[in-house]
Amino acid sequence: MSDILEVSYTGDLLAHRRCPRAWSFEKYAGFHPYEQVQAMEGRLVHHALEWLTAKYKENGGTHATVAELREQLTLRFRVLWARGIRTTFESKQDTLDRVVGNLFPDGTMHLTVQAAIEGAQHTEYELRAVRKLVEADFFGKTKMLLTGILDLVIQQQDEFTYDRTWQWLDRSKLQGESAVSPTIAKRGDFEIWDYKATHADTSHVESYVLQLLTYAALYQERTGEIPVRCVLFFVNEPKRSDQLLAIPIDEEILGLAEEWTINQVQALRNTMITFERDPMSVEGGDLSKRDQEEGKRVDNELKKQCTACGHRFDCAEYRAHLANPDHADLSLDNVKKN
Amino acid sequence: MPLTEDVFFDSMNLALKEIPRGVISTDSVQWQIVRVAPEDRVLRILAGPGSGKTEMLVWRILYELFVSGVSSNEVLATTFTKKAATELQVRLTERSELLMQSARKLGVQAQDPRIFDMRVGTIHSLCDSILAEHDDDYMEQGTQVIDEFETLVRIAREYRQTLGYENNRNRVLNRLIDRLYLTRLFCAPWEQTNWPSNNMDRVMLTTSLLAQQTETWIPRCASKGLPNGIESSQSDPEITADLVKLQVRWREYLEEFKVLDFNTLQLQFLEKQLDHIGRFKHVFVDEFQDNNPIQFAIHMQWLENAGLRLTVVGDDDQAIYRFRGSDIGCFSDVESYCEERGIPFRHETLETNYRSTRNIVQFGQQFRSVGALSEVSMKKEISAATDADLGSPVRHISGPWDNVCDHVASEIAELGVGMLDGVPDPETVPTAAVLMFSTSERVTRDWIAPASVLTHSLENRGLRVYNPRNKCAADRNSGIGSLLGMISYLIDPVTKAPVGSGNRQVEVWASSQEEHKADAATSAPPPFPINDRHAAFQKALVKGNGGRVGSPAADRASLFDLADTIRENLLALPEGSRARLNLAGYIARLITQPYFRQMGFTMELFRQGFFTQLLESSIAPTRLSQQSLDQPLEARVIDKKIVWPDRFWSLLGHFGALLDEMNMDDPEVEAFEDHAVPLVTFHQAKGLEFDHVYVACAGRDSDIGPVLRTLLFSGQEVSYGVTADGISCDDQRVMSLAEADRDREVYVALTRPRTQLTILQDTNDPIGFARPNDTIEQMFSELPEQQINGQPALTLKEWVHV
Repeated sequence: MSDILEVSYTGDLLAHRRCPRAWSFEKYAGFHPYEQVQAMEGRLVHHALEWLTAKYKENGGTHATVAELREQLTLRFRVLWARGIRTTFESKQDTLDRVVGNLFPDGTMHLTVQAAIEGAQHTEYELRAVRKLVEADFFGKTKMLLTGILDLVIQQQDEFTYDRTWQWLDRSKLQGESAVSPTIAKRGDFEIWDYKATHADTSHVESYVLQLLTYAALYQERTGEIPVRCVLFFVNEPKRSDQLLAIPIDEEILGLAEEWTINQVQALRNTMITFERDPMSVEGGDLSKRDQEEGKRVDNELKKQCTACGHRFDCAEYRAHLANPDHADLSLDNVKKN
Repeated sequence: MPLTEDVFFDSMNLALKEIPRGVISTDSVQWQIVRVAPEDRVLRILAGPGSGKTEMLVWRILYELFVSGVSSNEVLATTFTKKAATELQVRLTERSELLMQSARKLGVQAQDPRIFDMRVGTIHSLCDSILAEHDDDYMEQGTQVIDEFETLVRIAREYRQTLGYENNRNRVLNRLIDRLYLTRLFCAPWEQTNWPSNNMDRVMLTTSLLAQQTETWIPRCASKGLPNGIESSQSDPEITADLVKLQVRWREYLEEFKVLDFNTLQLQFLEKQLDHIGRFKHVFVDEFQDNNPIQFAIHMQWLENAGLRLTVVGDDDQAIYRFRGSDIGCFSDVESYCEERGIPFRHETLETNYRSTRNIVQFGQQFRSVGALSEVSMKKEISAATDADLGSPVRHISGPWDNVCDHVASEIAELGVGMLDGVPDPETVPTAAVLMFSTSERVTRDWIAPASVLTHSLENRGLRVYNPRNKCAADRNSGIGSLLGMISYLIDPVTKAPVGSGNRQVEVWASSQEEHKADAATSAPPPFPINDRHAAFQKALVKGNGGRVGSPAADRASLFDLADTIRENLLALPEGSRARLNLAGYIARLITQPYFRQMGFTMELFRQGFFTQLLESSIAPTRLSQQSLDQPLEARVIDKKIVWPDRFWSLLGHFGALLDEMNMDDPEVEAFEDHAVPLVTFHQAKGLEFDHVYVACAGRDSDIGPVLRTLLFSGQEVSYGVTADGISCDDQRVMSLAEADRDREVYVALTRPRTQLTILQDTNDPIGFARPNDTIEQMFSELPEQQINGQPALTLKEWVHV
């Protein structure tokens, strides 16, 4: 009855891009995922950084201690667990050790984290944009409300060097790569950051870059300010020099990123309509790998999601990927796996 | 720099032309509303249907931001629903951008007010977000707000131990439930006279008591030491204390588990609100007529900040939520509240309906003037816009209900509504909806619900129907019922076994109340008595489509085979080895079976999705305990019986009762709204508009229960009595309010269409709410009858504005 298409950048667009089938069942048809395995660590990291930033301001420029952070995360873990958010680790202790260890290696706050907290202007900055849609292209929807949360807006307090920089290989196709090439941030540079609780070599890095560039475009639209650069912070990346990826910004690339986002929304709407015609015809696997043959659209990163997915048993893509109909993941009567 | 008032209005009018909408002149009421006068503290806007209240609200907000220079994070807007909040956010963004573009055309660069820094949401979400952002305890304790369903599940689990109910005892809930003059106030007219007669009835009553106590008695009486009006009305000096005890126990429980239900969240916010009132300069409240006393208290408490302005919008004729605790008095009381405290107050009225044709507007106006609303309505004269078309006559179609439904279905099919494919030009398809007081599709031995007949008529023509309030989502043969049946089968399979001296083969199950049946079951009986309604769902599934216990029909046999294999595999696990499969994983496996997967894009699919949420809600209250239900399944064989942990029995008992004893609605998912014919209740239709509207089932009796609840829990003494089938009251004020409540619902329905309004009436001796509405019938009584081509059983009358 509404002509507004509400789209969350992470909850809808990125989730749909990772796997339209899982998105259709879980988000569109309301099949509640019973284990949000991937989410626990990411939520704890986001909460930790937000909480550390708030404490730093509240304490007049003094950072919280590692013990205080652990206590806060213990509380948060309990709340998230009660909400069905699960961890890939064996125990609560392992999860907390890992999150705290990444932020406070050897018990001392990591310099990158310190720089982010001290330069923070805003945390959890909510972005919303309304766009008119061509009704015929979006099956009756005439407006889109796109929402996203920008993890951090910072102003550099000192000169800072990023070891890795995003380089475009083909701007027209929006293809690029993370290169070992320094970017030097000057004192006063305005940047927008997004935390990712993954490694730096994630196969989704291109989507994350385009997400953040779209956020930069929306931030500019909202504030009139164009950030100097975007930064992806891979919190779980063990190699310190690879944790941060600087993404240069120019007007043209912001426009292209926004256009890419609208195309993703259209793909999302097409999936809705396909689902409406026949739910089982929505294909699983990474949307960006649609041109590859069946079974090749799941990589090792997506496999972690697939192995815990409640809709994996009759997913043609996952079955083809495993190439073994007797695989334990697909066995309906296997009680040793959930 | 802020815009000047002149530039703002010039830019606004340029923007309105572009939308396109009519421009606003300086002598209009719209101009008075949009302009935030320096002396303004409280503005109340009485806005009739289709009068553009949201548009005016948006421009007044923008005036505050662009002209007064108020920062957007100092402005707060509350709406009644999440959907309304989204629509307001979208409209604010669009109008803000349009205004800036228009200002640029006038050569003025307006500063972006950063509209998204503004808080827009339901009062619950705003209370939660303000506390989460600014209240350290709230944030650090990780307090979570629970929705209405989880609240119900928690009360279902806790109402005995925590809240105090035991069979044949004198605990606090027993005492409250035993007071007939209390329970009858909360008993809906369609319930049996022995209500509350089962567990879920008692849970529903407890939920309602807690809500009314928190929303009405606490804000209106607690601080003044006023007893509940029932004390004097029924000479019951203990009732106030018992209700207080119940609410305190519930609050203690919520605090222990770090959760908050909607009502207690508002109470907590009210208690802490003074710490936050300095953060805001202007608070806007939409649909104020549907506020309850605690929401009224919150909105009035904002005024403790002497620099804060309050704008409230509403229409007393559209106040339809008294049954859920709202009180129309809140809207009218704003003026007296301000007068008593010397707070400047302004009242404006929007009386032009820009939505509908003249025929429709005048029909609604006449309904107001000849019915019960004429006595209680606030002063306003609703008229159509000067350029509105006369439009088609308002139609009244009557006849046997089957024929009426078939005719409506054919009309809607002809319009092209309710179809995704096969419509020649989707962009020209109008919108159409059927509105009914109740859209329940429940079918009993004596009654086929009118909505059920209509749904079948529409579906027979290949149209899809969207009816979330159907009351039958958990029927035994629905997706929800079937999935519960399969959990029941895994843990407590119904089998046939020889029982008694004659060794007769009878159905046995472990949780049966009959000991001999329980003893003969495959599983060991639960160590405590549980409600065994779950077994009825299991039996309905196994016997469906011609199956028998032990021999289900072919279309579902694979479900039972899978469950048997999983049970065997659990029992075959070696000592010391644990399964990882839990109940949710079991459901995920069942859903892959053709019985469920072949549902296609139907409501059944969404009911399966909904079931997983219901299961989650039922598990969530236990997650913080040692015995979490989302721990793996485990079963052992002891003395040739399968023994399951207590927690699974507890779930079966509660979940079975919950689904069996509650009339459950479908989830309101956007996915199913698209390309479907909305079949919605009068309440659900509020705030919506359609090109064509069919209104049916508008003749319910007035119900004095909600009115009495409001008055009594506000501390007022009202004389009333308990009768064999309900309550009685001779107080004319109560009767008038109850009749007006009924007519308001109908008025909301009558004012939804833009171009065509059709009243539907069953002539086959309808009962209950399907009876004719007296006021409407009176309006058509003198008009000539016509026949509808090809439909000899139907009669048509047409009403035209003269």
